[in-house]
Amino acid sequence: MERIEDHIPSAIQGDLKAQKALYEGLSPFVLGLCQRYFPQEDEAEDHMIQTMIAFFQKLNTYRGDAPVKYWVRRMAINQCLMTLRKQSAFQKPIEDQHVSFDSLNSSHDEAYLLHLVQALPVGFRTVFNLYAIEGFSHAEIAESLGISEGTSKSQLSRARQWLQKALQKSEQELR
Amino acid sequence: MRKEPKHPVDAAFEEALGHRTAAPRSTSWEAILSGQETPWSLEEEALIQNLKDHQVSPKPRSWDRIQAHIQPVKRRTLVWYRWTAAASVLLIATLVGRYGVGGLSVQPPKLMTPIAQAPTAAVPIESNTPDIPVELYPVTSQSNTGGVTSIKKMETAIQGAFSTVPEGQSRAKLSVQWMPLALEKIDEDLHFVTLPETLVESSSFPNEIPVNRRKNGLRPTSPWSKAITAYVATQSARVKEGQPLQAPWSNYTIAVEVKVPPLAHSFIQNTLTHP
Repeated sequence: MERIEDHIPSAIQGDLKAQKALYEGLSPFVLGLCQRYFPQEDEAEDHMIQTMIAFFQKLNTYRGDAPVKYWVRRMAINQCLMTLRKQSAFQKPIEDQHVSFDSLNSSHDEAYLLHLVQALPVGFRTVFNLYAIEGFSHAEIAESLGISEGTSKSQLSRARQWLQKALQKSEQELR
Repeated sequence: MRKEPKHPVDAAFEEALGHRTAAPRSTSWEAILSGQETPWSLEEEALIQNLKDHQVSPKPRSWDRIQAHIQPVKRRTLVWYRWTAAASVLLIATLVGRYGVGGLSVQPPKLMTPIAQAPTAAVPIESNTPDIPVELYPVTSQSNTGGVTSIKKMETAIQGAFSTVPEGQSRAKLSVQWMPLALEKIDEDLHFVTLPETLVESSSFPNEIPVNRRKNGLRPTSPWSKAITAYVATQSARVKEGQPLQAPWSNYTIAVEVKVPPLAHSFIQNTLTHP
């Protein structure tokens, strides 16, 4: 069975078909990741594109010691965090970050769950993504975002509280 | 062991403060909670798993944007090559057909790029029109083939330079770059059959000629195109006989100077400087 990594040598040589195959194999995953950080569709798509450009430009440095999916995942996270850092998204006081359930429609499908995460304030959302989904430690998150470990923990705690409430609310409405 | 009696002062403080309680601030519990690595609930786990698996198909045009970044030079130069080569070839062929070879006064060829080694004339080229001499110089510093010997795999970078002199006007030099294309294609292109297909896309080319007529009209009539054809024919024959190429095509610089009428000069200048 053909692995996505099989296309890498040809893609490095500039083979357009191999590059397209890598793009088709990885871009849905990368775009899915970017959408967790950027609720705006175009913004997420832009970050996917920037990630894939960086991916192809650095492909010759890929050593093959980990699946290429993990490699591109790290690039995508860096790409997203770079933008969020530029926006100083994490310097905003937690108290100022208003969370509202109003725009949520109850259901448990994938789109709804994504919408739940996207509805979180940027600080909550980023820490939740990094900790719960990407598997970073609070120390790593603190270093990546330029915040303290305590802030990372409290943002995660708040995000979880909010998500739990949102899930409970949707459960009740579904009944 | 006998217990020492408590000092009266200590006893007084213990009595007053020992059982005192105080209500914590509401945020303290949250702070404690956030410090704990509490396990995910089932709902949270489902949410996380769902988000981990989340994939979205990108928009179709996204690939075009990526491609433009990862292969910008190649794509642009290929388009540049196709357009300029097709325009030049058609123009020269037309001019030769219209004015005849004798109608074109020709300057001696000039080498436009540095020569890394002396001309060795490794490739025999026969030109049937000696009044417009074409010379091929080996330019090893420009080789980009990396020692490829197979004619099927070799890519070439041909660099040429046109210098057109309109009648009664001062000399203007126009550089034309032929960028990489497969040599196996050159064999076809040198009959100038495939090039007009590119011209079909160009609406700005004057004197539209039907494609089928163009094919016939674009045989290698100019001396330099004959020289190229002769070179490729020689090398193709060598490859068919199992012999290696005498020299990679990319090792040559072609310099051609052709005098053209003012109208044609203006056309060349416009087309070649604005691809």
